[in-house]
Amino acid sequence: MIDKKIRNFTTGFFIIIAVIISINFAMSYWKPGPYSLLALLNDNKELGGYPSKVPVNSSTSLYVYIENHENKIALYQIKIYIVNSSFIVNSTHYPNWKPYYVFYDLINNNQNDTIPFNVTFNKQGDYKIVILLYMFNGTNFVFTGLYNQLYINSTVA
Amino acid sequence: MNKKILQIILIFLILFISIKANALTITCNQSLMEVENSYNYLAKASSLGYSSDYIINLKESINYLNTGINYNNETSCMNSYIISKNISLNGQKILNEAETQYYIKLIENIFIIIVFLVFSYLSYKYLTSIYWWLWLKTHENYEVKKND
Repeated sequence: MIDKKIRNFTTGFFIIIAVIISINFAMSYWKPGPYSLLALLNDNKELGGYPSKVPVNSSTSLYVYIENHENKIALYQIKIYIVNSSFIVNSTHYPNWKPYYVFYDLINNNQNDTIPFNVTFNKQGDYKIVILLYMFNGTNFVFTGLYNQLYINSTVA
Repeated sequence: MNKKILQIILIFLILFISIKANALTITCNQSLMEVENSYNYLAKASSLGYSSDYIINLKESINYLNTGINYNNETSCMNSYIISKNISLNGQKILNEAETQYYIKLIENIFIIIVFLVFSYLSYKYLTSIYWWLWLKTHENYEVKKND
């Protein structure tokens, strides 16, 4: 009968819409991650093509790139060090003294930001630019385990 | 005599420099603490899906803080402190707004789902009778004739 067909179709239509809205609603609570990303960019804001040899007392421009997927707004602390190239850096062993630069950055969830900085080497030698990413956990800044390093040879021009 | 004056000037200079340096550190540290304080409010609000212009203000405050810390600019630290202090003073208001917005959205979503479920029940229960009622309305002038 046509009347029952219309009834079943309409009822089914409303149920499907309710189910779709429920799934959509539940999905809004499902959040992947959380994680952050750290990268070092060259002076054209690109990955790769980093300077490997720079003259003494000349300024080198670089950018720090950070991406936030922490499912909330995040306050980052970026510490930039210039260390001897022999200094070993990993997620457990890293410089802990006064940095060359310290930057703070506030990034919305699923957003990114780039921070420019300049480095000048006063003496010739083999150096390493080390970037460490810290995140504020509500009471203090905690090292995220994310770091980046760039070997640079500073020579007399 | 000259030596004594020189000593006094030297002590004064050392004291002045150390006080000045200390004042700068305190100001920058205070502004960092204030930034952290305001961030805590905004992070809580953000985890409830709330976004406001205060985030832009805090970003501006952080930019001042970066300049203040890396280039020993006392004024920048002061500016950073003023902006973030303003945010933290409104922190409770931000949290209240975030919670209100969160619960309104939650109730709104549940209400929409319930409405569609009620529609589906009503259509199952009454649509057949509505269909025939409409059919009768549109066929009021029908005449049934005997087919001889």
